[in-house]
This record gives sequence, structure tokens and C-alpha cells, in this order.
Amino acid sequence: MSFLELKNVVKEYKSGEGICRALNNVNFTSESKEFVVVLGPSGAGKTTLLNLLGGMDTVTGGEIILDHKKISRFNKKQLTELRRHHIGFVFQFYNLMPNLTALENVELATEINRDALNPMKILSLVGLKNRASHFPAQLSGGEQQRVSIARAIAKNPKMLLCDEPTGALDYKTGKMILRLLYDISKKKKKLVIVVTHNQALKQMADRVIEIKNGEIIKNYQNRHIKPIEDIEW
Amino acid sequence: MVKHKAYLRSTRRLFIKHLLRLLSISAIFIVTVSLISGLGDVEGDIKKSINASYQEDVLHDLTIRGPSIELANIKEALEGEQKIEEIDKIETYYTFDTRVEEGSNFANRAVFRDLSNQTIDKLELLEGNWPKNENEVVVERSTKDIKERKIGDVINVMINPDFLPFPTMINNVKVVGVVKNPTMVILRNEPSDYYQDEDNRYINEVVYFDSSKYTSPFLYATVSALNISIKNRTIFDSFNEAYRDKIDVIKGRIEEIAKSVHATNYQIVTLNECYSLVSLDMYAEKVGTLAMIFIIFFILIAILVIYSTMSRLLDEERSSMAVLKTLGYSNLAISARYIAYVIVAGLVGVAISVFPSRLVSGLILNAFNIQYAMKEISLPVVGNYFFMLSGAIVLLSTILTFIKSMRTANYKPIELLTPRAPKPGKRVLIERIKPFWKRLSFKYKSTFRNVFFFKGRLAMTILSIMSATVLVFASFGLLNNANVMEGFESLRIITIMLLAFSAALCALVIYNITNINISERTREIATLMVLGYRNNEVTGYVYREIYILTAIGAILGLPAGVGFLVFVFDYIGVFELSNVEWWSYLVSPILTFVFALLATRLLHMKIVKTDMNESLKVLE
Repeated sequence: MSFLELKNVVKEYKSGEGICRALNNVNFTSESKEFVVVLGPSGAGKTTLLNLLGGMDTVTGGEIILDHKKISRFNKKQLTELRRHHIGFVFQFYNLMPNLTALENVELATEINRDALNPMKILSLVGLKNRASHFPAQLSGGEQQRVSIARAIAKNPKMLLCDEPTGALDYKTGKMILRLLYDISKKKKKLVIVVTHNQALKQMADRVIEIKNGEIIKNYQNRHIKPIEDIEW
Repeated sequence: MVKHKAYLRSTRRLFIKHLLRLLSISAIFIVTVSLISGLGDVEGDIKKSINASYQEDVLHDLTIRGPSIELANIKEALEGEQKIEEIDKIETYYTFDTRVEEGSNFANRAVFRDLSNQTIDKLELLEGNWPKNENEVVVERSTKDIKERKIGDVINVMINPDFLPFPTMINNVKVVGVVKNPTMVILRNEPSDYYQDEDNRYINEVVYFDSSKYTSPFLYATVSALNISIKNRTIFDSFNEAYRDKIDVIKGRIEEIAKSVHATNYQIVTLNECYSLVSLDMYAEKVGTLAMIFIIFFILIAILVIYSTMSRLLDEERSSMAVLKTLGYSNLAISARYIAYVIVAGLVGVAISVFPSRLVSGLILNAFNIQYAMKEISLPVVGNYFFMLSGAIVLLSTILTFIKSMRTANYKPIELLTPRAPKPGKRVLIERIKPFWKRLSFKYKSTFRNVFFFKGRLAMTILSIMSATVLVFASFGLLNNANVMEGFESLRIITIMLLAFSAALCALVIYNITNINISERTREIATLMVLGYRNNEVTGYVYREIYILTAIGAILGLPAGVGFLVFVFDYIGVFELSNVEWWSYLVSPILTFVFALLATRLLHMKIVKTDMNESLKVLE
């Protein structure tokens, strides 16, 4: 059994009188320490997929199994506990608490987590040791995103979900962030799933999943992984 | 054209997104306008009723009392060559106050008037008929002191005032009607004429004989009274100074005339000394002064709360403003949205306040009627103060919103898009106490920073909660004082009304602040949820701040409330701080805190139901 399995996942929303199917029969598997890139144009169902994986929403049909647990059957409370202990989330716009320092923003996640890592060590890992006592407003976009990543991995999660993590960053900083995420998947042995519309990123992924209109149109392992530094877009 | 569509659509979205806030601003308008316009109208309405009585019942302006012979001479002079131009009518009558019994506090009054031809102090026949002969009488209607007589009762009237050498009994007269004397508006403690030097001598019964039908000669040999009315009656405006001066002049001239006819044993009593009416007028003025203080205070609080609500809305709207700015809209066009927002909220509130404001003044007037039988007047549907006060409060809120929105719109788009954040390196004071700060969990650190970072916002929030507590405490303080004032049932009702509105405003202020705090934190709340924070942990994030601010505001509200009460008591010249019960000091801050608990409970679902997708949204 794979670390993460999606079987015939369907997600429908009510829209006005009718029903809108955001995801239709989605199937895929992936292993821990994999770096997965989910690709697709906007409106393809990427965010919906992310919400389901992250325990922020529930499926209409099908199953999601994470590390032998059927999380698609979880109730609201169980989903909260899942997010609390096992899911790391990296947002496009960082979502740091403006009134907490970088270190405190990491502690925000570790404080409620049973097997959290040392926040200061994680900050050092993302290269922000010297910025620990700065507030988000005093940090650059790239630095803020690194705090956000530190916050996500300090939980020691089973899975790291990243929603357009470079969307708000410049080219160079974006590359640096992707390098960091890639290294985490390898060094910390985490399943990292990056959702993006940037086609170039598939070159660095272990697995590429392309969605269109709520369906997976491509799902393959990348045999020719290119280091991020060599990818241009 | 396309641009305008976008503008209108985004404006509509502004109203929908912040509907709850709009409604709570409206509610603040409703509570404030209803109370202040209702309160503001009370004094005027009472004075209006006094004026109506003065005109319609032709209240006497002066009464001369004394021996019949002296008064007859004065009357002759006044009607003859020494005529005073200002005097309109002179009516003679006879009035005798007799102690009910030796040592009693009460006196019975017998009045002989020409009931078939009344020109001054016209009695109103409430039931029955006027006397047709000397064996029939009418009686004053019953009050708390004046005993009830029924039509058909046959009574004996004893006339034995101190100045008569022997008592006179008039037996077996029949009560044929009940009347109301317009000068006897007070329903308790109507003082007796001839015992004013002795304390607590009150009228217990008034029997009116028709002097035109009464033939007994004893009347004409004794003491009588002249009721005098003046011509220019429009000068009277509820005991205004011009009227008082005028009457004093006339009084002086009558005294000169009396001297010329060698009268020495008479006494002139002006309407300004009519206990009932003057006490009603003075009471109305006291309530008016009290009302004015509360009106000003309510307006200040409402303006403060509405302004801080709007300026926090404008802070949330910075990115929308930036978008509109890049689309090429002028600062004025951008501000117009928010002006429209506050005006709509204001007009909705004002429109709804029309009825409750009349209800407030109606209830207070009713309370006055517990002590006073005021002449009924028809009140306009919309109170006199309504437009002025509601106009002032809407205008002030609009102007302040306009200034703030113009100032915000003046920033460059890029400045608007950068969220306002604490200045670099800035720390709150407690952070310097390292061992303490280190031990605090993130929740408290965040709360302390939120509370102390934005000093302006903090000050406005605490000031709002504090002022609301001051109002609640002051109302309790007034209620305590009303309780110790005997016979002022009406005052209690007025203070209870003040208390109710103060409490309502206090609750609204706190609800509003809580609601704003939640809406400002939507993204943070959604982020905490994504991070796996449990419901009570997420709500705690918002609540802690509310509770701390409420506690600070409520506690500071006490000394401020004491100061306010001392000022109020000093200003209106009655009541004492020592009458304020110990529990008022306790209940007021507790009540404020209870409102905070209620507000957080009410808004609990709003937090819990926050869509986690809010955390993923593009920063507008």
C-alpha cells in the first residue's frame, strides 16, 4: 500500500440550482519523500484537491488514504487533529501572523503539536537564524515564505502541501524556495505536494500530475529530474 | 461605462460584505437617536402643556388676598380711574382652608366662585353638572391626598379658618359634579394657602360653591381673593424671565394703588409662586438639564463608536481602494462609497428611530403624570428635537468618515497595498520582562501585541467601552438617588429608561467591537484553522483580546463614572454620591463584562464557520 492513495475521488459543490463537479474520479498514489507537482490551469480543480488532501474539506465520493488511515472518512474533529499533527501547509501569501515574530510564527505551529521539532533549529535550516526576532513586515517576501515553510515543517508532518508557493515571489527567490522544498522532501523524507500552474516545474518533480476540468489527464513518474537551478521559465 | 459598472458592483459588494457592521451602526443610531430625541423632547413637551393650560384655562397671573373691604376698594380702583392697561380681567372669589382636625397635617378647602361665569382659572368639569342652587356643590377630583367624593354624596362643610372668629357649618350639600382646577396639577402635597408658614399642611378636600347662587351674607363680611389675568398672554412661556419681570412690574403698580386706597392687610401672590405649576416647571427643567448632559454624552459615544468602526472599515478597505485608484478613480469618488455606506446606515437608523423616540418621550411624560396631572396636548408624530439631533449625529459621522476616507485615499496604491504593521523593532513594554514574556504562549504574546501595538485603535476601543460603562454606572447612580427621593416615582421610571438605553448602547458597542475584531482577523482565523487549531483555541484568539479590552474599559469606567456623576449631581444641584449603593459599583463593570460574554457567544458561530479557503485567497 502506498503512503498516499486516492481512489475514485469525487468532489461536487452546489452552485445555484445545479451541482458542479470540481473533481471527477481522481486516482493517484505517491510515496513519502516524493516531490509531487500538481499542474493545471486555474479552475482545473487544483485547490479543491489540495483542500481534500489537507483535511480542509470532505469528499463527495471515493477514498483518500494517508499512511494507512482513511482520512476521507474523518469527521470535522478528526480532520482538525489531522491538520494539527500531520499536515504542513505552505500558502501562496505566507499567511504569517503580522504581530508575531518569525520564531513565534513557527512556535504557533509547534506549540500545539505533539512531536514538533525545535523551532529555532528549523529556522536555522531555512536560513533565518538571524531574522528570528523580526516581524513579517520587516522580512522580504522570500524570507516570509521561508518562515511559512519553517512553520509547516516544524510540525514534523507526514505531508507538506504547498499552494503556489512561489506565486508571490520573484524568479530568483522562487527558485530558492523550490530548492528548499525539494531538499526537505529528500533530507527530511517528507511527501511534498506542490500545486502550481507553472509548467516548467514538472522538470524537477519525482511525480507529475496534470489536471484539467477536474480530471487527471496525465500522471507519470519523471525519469529525467532536472535540478531547479537548471530550469528556466 | 465599463468602469462605472465595476465601481457599482464593487460598491454593492462592500455593502454586502460588511452588512452586519452596517446593521450594527444602524442599531447604534437607533438606540442613540431614540433616547436622545425622546429625552430632548420631554422638557419642551411639559412646558408646552403648561403653556396650553395658561392659554386655554386662562390661569391667573396674580391673586390678591385680604379683607373683603380692602379688596373691594382695590378692585374698584383697578376698574376705575387707576386702571392698569395690561390687566384684562378681575374675578372675585372666596376661599377658606380649614384644618381637618386639631394637629392634623391636612386642610379642607371651601371655595365660593361664580361658577356660571368663569373667566380665570377655569375649572374643567370632569363628570356631573355644575351646581344649580346653593345646596349643590362640585368637588375637586381625587388625588393621592384629596379624598374621593362621588356624585350624589351629601356632605357637611365646616368653615373654620384661623382668621374667622367663629366656625360656620354648611350642612347637607349635595355633590353634583367633579372638577379639575388647572392650578392644582400636583397629585400629592398640594399646599394649603393659609398655612404656608407651617410645614406640611396639605389640601385634603376642595368643595366649590357657586357664589352667584349663594345668598348667605357671611361671605361678604370676610376675606376674599381677586384673581387677575393680563391681556398680553403670549408673553408667557412657561415662567420665562420676561413674564416674571412683567408680572413684578404689575405687582408693583398694584401695591401703589393699594396704598392709595389705604389697603394694608392684603397679600399678592403671583402665578410664579403657584406651587403646583412651578414645581412641575422646575422638575421639568431639572429633567431637561439631566437630559441635556446625557444627550451630549450619548452623542459623543455614538460618534466615537461610529468613527472608530468606519476607520477600521477603511483600514480593511485599503486594497480595494488601491484597485479603484489604479483604475483612475478620484479620491472623492473612492470616498463616496464609504460616505454612502455611513449615510445609509445612519438613515436606516434614523428612520427606525421615529417611533421609539416618541415612545421614550411618551413614557417619560407618563411617568410625570404619576405625580402631576398635566394638561393633555397633542404631540407631533416626530419630536421637535428629532431632526436636529439625528441630523447632527448623521452629519458628524459623515464628516468624520469623509475626512478619514479622503486621507486614506490620498495614499499611493502601493502604500495602500502594504498592510499596516507595527513599526520595525517595536516591542510592547512587557516584552522587556524577558522571563515573563518567554513563558507566555503565542496566544498571549499575540494578544498583548494586538492590544498594545495599535495605540490609536486601542485608545478608541477602551474609550468606547469605558464610556459605555460610565453611562451604565451613572444610570445606576441616578436610580439609587431616585430611590431615596420619596414621592418621585416618575424619576425612577426616567432613570430606569436611561439605564435600559445605556445598557443597550453598551451591549451594542461591545458587540460591534467584537464583530470588527473577527472580520479583521478572518485571514488569521482561517490560517489558524488550517494549522489545526481547535474551535475553542481559534475563538480564544479573538476573545482574549475582547475580554482584556473590556476588563480595562469596564474598570476604568468606574472612576470615570464617579467623576461623571459628581459633575451631573453638581450641575443639576440635586442628588448625592453617598446615595449610590455599593452594588452599583459592582454591577456596572460586571454588566459590561456580561455583554462581552454575550457578544462573543453570539458571534461564536461566525468564527467557527469561517471558511478555511479565506487563507488561500489572493490578497485583494
